[in-house]
Amino acid sequence: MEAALRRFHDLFNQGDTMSNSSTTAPAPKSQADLIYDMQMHLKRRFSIGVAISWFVMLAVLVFLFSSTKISLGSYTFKTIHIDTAFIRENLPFIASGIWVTIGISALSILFATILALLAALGRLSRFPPIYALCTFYVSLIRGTPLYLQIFFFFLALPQVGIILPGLWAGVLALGLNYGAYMSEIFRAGLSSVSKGQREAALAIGMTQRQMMQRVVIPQALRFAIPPTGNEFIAMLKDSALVSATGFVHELMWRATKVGRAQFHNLEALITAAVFYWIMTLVFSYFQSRLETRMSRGER
Amino acid sequence: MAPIIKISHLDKFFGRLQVLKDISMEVNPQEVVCIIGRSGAGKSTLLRCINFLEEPSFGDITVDGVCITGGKKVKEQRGLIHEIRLRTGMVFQEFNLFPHMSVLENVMEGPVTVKNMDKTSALKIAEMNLERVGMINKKNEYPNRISGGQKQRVAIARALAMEPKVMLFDEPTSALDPELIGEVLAVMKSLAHEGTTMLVVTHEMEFARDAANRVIVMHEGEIAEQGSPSQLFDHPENEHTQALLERYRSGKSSQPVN
Repeated sequence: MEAALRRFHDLFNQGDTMSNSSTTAPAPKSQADLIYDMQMHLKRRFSIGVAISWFVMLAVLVFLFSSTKISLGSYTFKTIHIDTAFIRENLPFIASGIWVTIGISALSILFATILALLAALGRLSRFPPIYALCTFYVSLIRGTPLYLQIFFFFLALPQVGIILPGLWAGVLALGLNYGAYMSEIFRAGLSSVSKGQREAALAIGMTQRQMMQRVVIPQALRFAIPPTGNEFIAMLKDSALVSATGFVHELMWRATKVGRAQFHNLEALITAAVFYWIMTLVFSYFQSRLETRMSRGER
Repeated sequence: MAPIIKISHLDKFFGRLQVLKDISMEVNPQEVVCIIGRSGAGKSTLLRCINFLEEPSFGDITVDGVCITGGKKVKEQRGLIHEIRLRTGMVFQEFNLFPHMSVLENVMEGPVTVKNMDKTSALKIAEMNLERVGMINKKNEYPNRISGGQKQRVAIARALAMEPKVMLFDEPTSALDPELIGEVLAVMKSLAHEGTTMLVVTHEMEFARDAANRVIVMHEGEIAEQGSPSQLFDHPENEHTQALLERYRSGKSSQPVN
């Protein structure tokens, strides 16, 4: 930090007297260095501005829920009151749903990834039933609401005698749903691998299968991994829908349970919302790091 | 000696368009044959029919004793196609190196995956072939970190690592910046010098004249003329050859565009 400040000090000193070489710096800065410093300076100023604004907005949000008394002349009002004692008391119960939420999301995304890859590969098939199966699956799933699909697995299947454990019904429903959407990502990934790559693989004598395994799919996955991370973050939040069935005790289920029972829905939901938000922030951070790392190498 | 490649009465249609018309030709062991001609004359298609990247419509193609008849269903001949691909090495205009593998892995990929060779032997072969094309010092780089000319040299090593009977070159220098063409042609000349059998589709007339034993001129899907380089370049008989050479001499600066 100190070094950076000194650089700016130099920058502005030199900016005024370009011909004078700085007495403290070992060598005068080149024009390119100066321009680079200036660009970095502007970039940093922007991010600092954004950070401050975020902080202000967060402070306003907290203030709105802080039950502060405000007097404007003769008129006095209070911002929203939150029962912090209730939150403190029920925090462990709600927080223990975090791992269920992450677990069900991770299992579902795994299942969805496998389905999506199969569906995307199936759409390359020249065998009509396989191609049809894949398009049929995607069409059926995308044509019905996720909420309905979840209830179907929890409530409709038991009617015909199929009773799945709560968690598995949730994973099945979420996985099937996300698999259909993600098959488009994988399809784009597969088609991003050029024809020349396939020909090169065939020309050295690979079979179709070896070509897919060794050349096409690895490159398609590299293309598809960052968007899959995005889907996982979306899944973290959509997994809350599973709570409606009452069988999976994840974050949302726990929040509504204690909230309804003690008529403290406001506090319970805010608590859950904060947890969801933090999870999303954490995973988004890893996601963006993954994205930069994956984009570094040429496809 | 039996020819390595023998093509007889080959026809190729793209839809209703006939791009190859009754082509018959041979490539003998240790021979370097260059195919020249205008863009769209069918040179690349002819080359790609040999290892079945394009399916021949009619005619027979024999590579090192393995014969495939055009027009039949691919499924019935899958085994034969595989045999032919093992006997031919292909170098593409666009290099087509595998970007997710290092230079060394690119060259090892064929022996390991296709020939089921153990890693140690494959490594030895790969390093030997990288040495041949002068790329051994870049063996741990990834393709996006090397120049076009270097990529093409690695692509040549990748094809050589399969120890093919004949090397097929599909305009290997057409996608390169002019200053990078020389290094690739130098590698190809040294291969020719070592006695590698080569069939080269090219726009590089100098290369054809220097390195080829025989030059084939194609025009609109047919072989217009063939002969030794000196015969063909100095005393062309066919009007299309004359026109082609005329255009080349008058516009050495204007590169042929695909």
